[in-house]
Amino acid sequence: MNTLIDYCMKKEHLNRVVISTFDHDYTVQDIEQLNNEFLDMLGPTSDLTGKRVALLVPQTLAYISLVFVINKLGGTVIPLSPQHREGDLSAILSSASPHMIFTIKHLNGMPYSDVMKEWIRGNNAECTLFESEEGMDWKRTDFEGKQAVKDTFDRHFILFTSGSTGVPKGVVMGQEVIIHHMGIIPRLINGQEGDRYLHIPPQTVAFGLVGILCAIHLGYRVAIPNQFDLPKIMNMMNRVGVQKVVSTPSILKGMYNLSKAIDPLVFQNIKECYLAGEMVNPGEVNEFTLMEKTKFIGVYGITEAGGIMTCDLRGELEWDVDEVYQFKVVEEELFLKSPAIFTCYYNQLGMTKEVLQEDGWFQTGDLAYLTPEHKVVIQGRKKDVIKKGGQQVIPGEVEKTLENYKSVKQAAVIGAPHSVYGEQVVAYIVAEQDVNTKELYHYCANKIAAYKVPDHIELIDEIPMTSGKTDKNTLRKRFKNKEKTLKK
Amino acid sequence: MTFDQFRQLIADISHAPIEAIQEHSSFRDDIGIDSLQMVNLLVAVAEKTGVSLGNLTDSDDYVSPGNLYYALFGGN
Repeated sequence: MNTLIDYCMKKEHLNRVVISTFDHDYTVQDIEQLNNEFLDMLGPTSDLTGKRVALLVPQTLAYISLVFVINKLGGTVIPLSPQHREGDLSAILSSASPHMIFTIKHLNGMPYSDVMKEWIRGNNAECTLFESEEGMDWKRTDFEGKQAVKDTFDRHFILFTSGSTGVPKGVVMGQEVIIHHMGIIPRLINGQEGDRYLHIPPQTVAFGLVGILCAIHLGYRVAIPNQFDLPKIMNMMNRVGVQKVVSTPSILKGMYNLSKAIDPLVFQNIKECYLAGEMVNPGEVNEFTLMEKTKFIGVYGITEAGGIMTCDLRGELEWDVDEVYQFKVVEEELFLKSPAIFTCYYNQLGMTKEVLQEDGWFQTGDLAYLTPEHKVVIQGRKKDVIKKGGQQVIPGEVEKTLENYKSVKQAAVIGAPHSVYGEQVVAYIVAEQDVNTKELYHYCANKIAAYKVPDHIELIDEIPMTSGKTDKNTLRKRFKNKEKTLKK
Repeated sequence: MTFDQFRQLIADISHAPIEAIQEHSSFRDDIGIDSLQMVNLLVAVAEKTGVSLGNLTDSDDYVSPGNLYYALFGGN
């Protein structure tokens, strides 16, 4: 076995529907056919070894086929989220220096190909740009400029997440790591041939991408919403006959609250529901009264390590770690070791060494303890991360964006509980002169992805400090008290 | 609730500039509200006005502020 195509595409599944969207069902054969078309377009003998190829392609079939073809030609795939805005995208492109970019021209009012062209010209980068309206027909433009360095590895993936210093973190993993993840995920979500899932995780994050690859490999079906259109999601769930759901708690809650009155049967038919991306409080899933017979399982994963463990969300929230991981708790922090751990952060040796020890143990940054039955109980996070609607928000990145605004002197960002998002982003700012907070929201919305934009911005005279650091506990208490006062 | 009051409510919840919130603006393309923000907006509108979200039966109902206003308040 040499490539992901060899591993995933099986003859016995050729006629099986594995991906469904609102309007289409795609078989393994459809994927194979598109792979061949894209291979012809790039030239079957093209060599992308050591080259990095960025993909901003929301159309699932086109995206998956491009992943397969770039991997086959030896290239490294860099998935880009359509939630990114100009600031996030430019930062990732500058970190990744891609040799080739596939992008849709625009989506949701965002002119993606213009942003890409601006980055290429602004950086005088030698780059091949493919543009498309939908993701099927591509127009190629070759830009001349400074050649980007090739990597010494091939057939890898670089998955970008926000970094605390404002520089994005590129989590590098080889295809063998992805294949390990493909062994783990079906165990965690009980994936079997013929199953039909509603699959919510974004296809540009490891959990989402690997979930789709698993469906192709094992012959189960993932129904993927192209957009958040509830009546269409409900129709698709009915059409596909969804019995299992993989989602974030916040998206499931949103779907449930807005649609339970319209189509209660859709929820009553769900046998198993797998929730990832945010912490769930004990007993929280009992709010889904139409789903009292549904099995609710929590899935805990990290980009750097894949899907790691599960727990019964109706129980005590004690997590069972998958068989592929060794694990231990050192000074209250959970450590993991396995062939499914990432290779490094792209071009960030120092940052890699901070979390990945030479003997292969990975420090998760999560505070935990072990029960006598060797189960894991998560107590909190060592790292300062906000989990909003299943997405990670690094306070440092939002603080930096706010501090770049003309009259903001200092910013401190905290996470606070939120009924829809799980957690929300709250910013406290100290201003040199009058700041129009409405303009500041707008400024942030143009610079960073919508989920990173603060939900609340408050002006204060001084950021509280303790031992030379921002005293975020005081800010959390301050926000909690303010909310209490507002509710009275 | 008048439509102008409704526009102000959307602006307060979403922090979007009020000028962007017009009867026929697209929530997604013109106001920049993504899927989960839409859920948040709808839940917050229901909380603040007491209106029932059961009136929303079609995706066209929340494509624009005008459609949402008529679906939720029937133009009253």
